Amino acid sequence: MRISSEQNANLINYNKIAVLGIFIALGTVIWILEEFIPRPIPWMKMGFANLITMVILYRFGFRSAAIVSFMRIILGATLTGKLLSPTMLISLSGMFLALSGMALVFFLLENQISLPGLSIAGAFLHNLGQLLTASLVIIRKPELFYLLPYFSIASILSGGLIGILSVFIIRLLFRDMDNDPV
Amino acid sequence: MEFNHISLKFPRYGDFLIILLILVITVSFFLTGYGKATSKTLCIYYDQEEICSRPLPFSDTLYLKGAEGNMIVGVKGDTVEVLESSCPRKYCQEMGPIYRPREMIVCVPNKIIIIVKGNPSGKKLDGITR
Repeated sequence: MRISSEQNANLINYNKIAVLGIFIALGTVIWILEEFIPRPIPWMKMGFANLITMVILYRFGFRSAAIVSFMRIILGATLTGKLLSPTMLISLSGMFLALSGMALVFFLLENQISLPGLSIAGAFLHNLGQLLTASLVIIRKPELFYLLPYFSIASILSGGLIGILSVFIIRLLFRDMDNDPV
Repeated sequence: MEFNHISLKFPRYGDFLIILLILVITVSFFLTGYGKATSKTLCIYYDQEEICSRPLPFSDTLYLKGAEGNMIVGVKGDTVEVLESSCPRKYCQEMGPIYRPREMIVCVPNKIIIIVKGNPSGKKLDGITR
């Protein structure tokens, strides 16, 4: 039987904490390993760590996804020695805009979209948030917005791929969703 | 907010709506100021300060001093390329040559931005008579 959050509001859901911890660790490892994969275009990154965010978003909702991706960025930045650097600020702003924008898109088009569509919206907003921070806070050159067309094409490709892959992962992981106790 | 009743079957028409919206933003951005550029200018910024503005084409090797170290930029005709940079990841070197208007190379560690700016043909006067 699935225990809903209303039923045990006073209890700490240890299962959920354990699963979120595993997913934070997985996301961090994927995020660090992705640095070593050669890329066709140097500034384009697939963002495979966001597979974890999409799975968590689907299974545990918005708050857990925000916690997992925030912790992943903090942990990843600490391990690669980029804590509180401009790179981390750019990652955080992209994550923040992507998650809040995805919540808005989900709120507006709830029954019309699928998970890959939500992922594409998230990828686009992620790039937009990064570009906004880079051009307004860190480099302070509005000319950086000339890169927006390249970024949006890249976000359609990477967001679509991440969305489709996360659908497969969700189908594998939560095949019997009503029976798992998490 | 619960997301677990979102459809896993794709594509649905809302997905195309999102892609269309992104493409409209992209295309409208492309159309603004993408006139036929008759002449191009190479602009280099260091820490928001313009340190170079020269009309292309010309051929030269530029030695720049960035925040992290030195940077060598090669200009051959109207293509601009970072030949050597002292930054740790060398993204600016991997970018390769740029030549189209609005193309740019950004080196964040060195705080250097290299932009090829196009001068739109409409705004440039052929001559002034009195």
